[in-house]
Amino acid sequence: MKKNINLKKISLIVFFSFVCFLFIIPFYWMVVSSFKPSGEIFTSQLNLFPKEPILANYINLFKTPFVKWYLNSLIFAGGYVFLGLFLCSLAAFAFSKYDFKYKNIIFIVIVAAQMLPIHIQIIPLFIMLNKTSLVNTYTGLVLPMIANPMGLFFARQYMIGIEDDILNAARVDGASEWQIFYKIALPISRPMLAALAILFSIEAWNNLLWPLIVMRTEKMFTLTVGLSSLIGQYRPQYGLLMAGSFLAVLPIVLFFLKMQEHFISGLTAGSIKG
Amino acid sequence: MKRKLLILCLICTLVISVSFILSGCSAGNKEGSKESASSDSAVELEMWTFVNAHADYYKKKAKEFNDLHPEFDFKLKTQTYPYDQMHDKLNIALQTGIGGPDISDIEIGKFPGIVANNKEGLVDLTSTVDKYRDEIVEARVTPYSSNGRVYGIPTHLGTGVMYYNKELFEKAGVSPESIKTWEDFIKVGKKLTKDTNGDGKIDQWMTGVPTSDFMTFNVMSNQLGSNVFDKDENIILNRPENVKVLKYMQDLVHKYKIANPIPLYDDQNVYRDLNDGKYAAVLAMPQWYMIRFTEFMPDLEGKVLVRGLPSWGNEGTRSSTGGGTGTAIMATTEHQEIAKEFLEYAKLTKEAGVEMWTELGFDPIRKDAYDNPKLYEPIPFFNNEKVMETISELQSEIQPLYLSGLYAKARDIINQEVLFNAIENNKDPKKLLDEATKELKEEKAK
Amino acid sequence: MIRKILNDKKKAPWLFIAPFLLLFTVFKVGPILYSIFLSFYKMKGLNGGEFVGLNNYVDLFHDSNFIKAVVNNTKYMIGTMITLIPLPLIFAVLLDSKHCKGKTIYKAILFIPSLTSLVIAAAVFKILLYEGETGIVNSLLGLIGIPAQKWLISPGLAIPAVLLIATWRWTGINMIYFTTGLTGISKEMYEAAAIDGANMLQRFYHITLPLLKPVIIFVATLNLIGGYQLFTEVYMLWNAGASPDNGALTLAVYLYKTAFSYFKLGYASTIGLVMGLIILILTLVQLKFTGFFKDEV
Repeated sequence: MKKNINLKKISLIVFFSFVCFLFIIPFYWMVVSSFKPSGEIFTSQLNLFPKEPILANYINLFKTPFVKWYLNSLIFAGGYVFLGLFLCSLAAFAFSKYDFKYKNIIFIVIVAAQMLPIHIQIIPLFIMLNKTSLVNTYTGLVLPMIANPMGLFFARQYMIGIEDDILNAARVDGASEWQIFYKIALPISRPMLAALAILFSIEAWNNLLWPLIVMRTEKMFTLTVGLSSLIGQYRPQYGLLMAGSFLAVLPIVLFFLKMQEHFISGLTAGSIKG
Repeated sequence: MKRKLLILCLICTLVISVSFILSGCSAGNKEGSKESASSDSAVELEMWTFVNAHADYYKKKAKEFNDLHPEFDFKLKTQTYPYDQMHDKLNIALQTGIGGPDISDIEIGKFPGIVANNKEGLVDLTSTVDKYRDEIVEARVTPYSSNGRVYGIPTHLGTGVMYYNKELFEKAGVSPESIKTWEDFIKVGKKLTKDTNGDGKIDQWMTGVPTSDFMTFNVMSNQLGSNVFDKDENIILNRPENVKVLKYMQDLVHKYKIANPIPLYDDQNVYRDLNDGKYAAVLAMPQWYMIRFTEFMPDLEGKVLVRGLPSWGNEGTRSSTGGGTGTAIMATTEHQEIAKEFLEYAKLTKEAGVEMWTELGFDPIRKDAYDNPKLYEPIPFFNNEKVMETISELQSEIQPLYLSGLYAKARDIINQEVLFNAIENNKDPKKLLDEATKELKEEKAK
Repeated sequence: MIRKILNDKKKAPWLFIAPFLLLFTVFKVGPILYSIFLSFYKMKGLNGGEFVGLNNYVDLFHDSNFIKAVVNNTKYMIGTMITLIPLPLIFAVLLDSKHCKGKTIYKAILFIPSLTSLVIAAAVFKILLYEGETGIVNSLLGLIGIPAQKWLISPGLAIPAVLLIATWRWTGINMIYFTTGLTGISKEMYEAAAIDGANMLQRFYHITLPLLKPVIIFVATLNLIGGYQLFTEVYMLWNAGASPDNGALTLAVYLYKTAFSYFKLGYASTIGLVMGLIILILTLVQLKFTGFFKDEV
């Protein structure tokens, strides 16, 4: 039996090491390239080490408003996650645990809107933002994004799994509907909230088109827009881009994982769900 | 505590959304007024480019301009975006009439579409350019003109040239000077195409033929005075000259087997292959491809020879051009006159012509800039030759490139269908060009 | 007053969805109505427009590019259903196992691709998919006797190439969805089943899959929508989406070009709307088929 478990452990380690090896190649290449001068980046196939590692890319990176871009991205992601989660989970709770008129129709209309590509919405959105003086502001960046149909959909899918008995028990105890939402449904949904937080942050973090349209001045750029402004067409500063992307990815990955662990362990400690 | 936070959150969202809607009704364009209010006496012009080096150049010129014209007291704020993003942002600005810069670089492929659809969004620069008609190469003004009016100021000439790998030619015992015609190119090509390591497969080719970028096709057909559109924007893509060029490109691969299909010359894998000596020649690319060598192919230092295009025998010339960027002024700017004067200074004067080369590495459009000795300094990377001597000799007969609103569509059809099927699939060039012409004509009729 | 509504089981849900609905109406419904309006016009810039009735819609069905794009998107969507559901699901289940050590590191690594700039990813994948025999993917294929493939050149291989990059990018994210679903399944159920003599596969089939069904439906819906909205990967792998012989032309790329390169806003809106309609119908069929509207787990 013991031997069996060890075998399982080892085979899992081997399996995931292999998978991870495959997945990390592009990232590894990015890290290595960030220590190369741009002439060396494409000269040979995936050379695994720089001939002479240089720090110039990192030094140059901090001559750009990199830190400001980073902050802007954090504000964008933070605002989007915070407001988006709140809006989506609240609405999802209504859609999953109540019966009201036109429920399915409203839900379908909302999800249907997600089917339309962003490209046809951009011009009217831009005109709206301009009319309301929200161009080049954080509000203009975040507000049109937060009513996210996919976030609502995912939250609804999760909240449907919450047992009605728990909610009804609370009702019997005299809790208001609002209390039921924030005292019972929300805590139970912690893993879902963590997942959504991660997904929303990724979306905000990677979004290029929207911040590009909304933000006008260099100081208001998010990281994606700022970094991509470093690659011109004829003389792409790839090394600089690699360095910037590397610094952009690392802390976020660590932060997300810690957060997810925290949320999940919080859940098991509370052991609400039977 | 938590509860208060949540209620606060709810209220905040409601307030923000309501205020958003309300402010939408009052529709005051605060952004515009804020900008003009906050500015001190200095006039600030915003300029968009998609090349960092261009931005640096214009900033430098703006400083000089200011020193020369203290009465303007103007500041230039440049903003670089990646190629596609910049043009998207610009298109949105032009279409909505809001949020654009004062001045912008626009790439040649994007220019005609903008002129055809948003002509009124750009300032008419005819009078500015007219002052310099005799000094600049007229053929480069046409791409940015429509009905005789000029909307953009050209940046460089983009003379079409060949790039040869000196080392490979020496090994094969032939000289690039012996290539006078495109026929010679094939003869020499046979000597340079070989299997160097003896595994039965060819690993060194005379050249690569692009299958998804029409720059090479463009340069070669421009030699014959042909292209996609004529002066009156008629579609002439299936002209015999174009068929001939496409057939030649196809034959290099399929008949003479001296060329390998490549996606396009501006591709990282191709940079690497060129760097590793897989190709002896770069087929008909503009002068600005020199920058790619210095930037991405360090191993070729000292080994690259820049030579004129081979000729088509009795037909056409050895002159040609390709690519380009026009600088335009947006109609929404409040400082049209300053912008015009600045562009004139930064792009059309003789000094600007010289600096196009010294600062940016482009062949200037100012003819008299070629009198300046600064253009003829030997360049170590290119075999220590005076490259500009070679290039300036080729410019006498450059044929204009006529564009139309359908140019973007035409470029896509050629890039994705015509070239690919001719070079990769060996289909009949005449038939492919006929089909493409038909498709474009249908599009035009719509 | 609000307090009163909050205590009312009938009215409370309306208050709960109000903020979402409000923002949704302003920022989604508005622009969509505008694009419906545009789809009946032949636009020249934003100012000049000529009413053409249903012409744009009629043209669309005779447009070979549009049809090609629908086919390409469908191929890609089916591809993601085959790769992007089973792979992340298996990873999530294995990572959920108590025998698995170093979960955090594995998750981190599987997750990194979604945060890596796509400009960089495209640059690396172009190297990996290099068409020569020395290309990394081709060398690997060579080991098992498959001849070198012209990955980014052959029109037939364009969609598989995109699938490769999509699998790399999205596996980690889909895995997060499944992991989330799995945390809701109690360990006791597995243990009870194990005592009853159910083997791993049986447990997976009889416990994990049914309980994960809502999440699987969600991920499948995402794949469906994402499959038809595919844009960035194609855009980055080929110069602005210019794939040979339109082998990877997608609806979104075509729409984008129509709007921003060819300046045909009306026609672009039509493409967008028909594209949305296709996705909507398929999604509804899929949701109906999987019993989504029955409100059961």
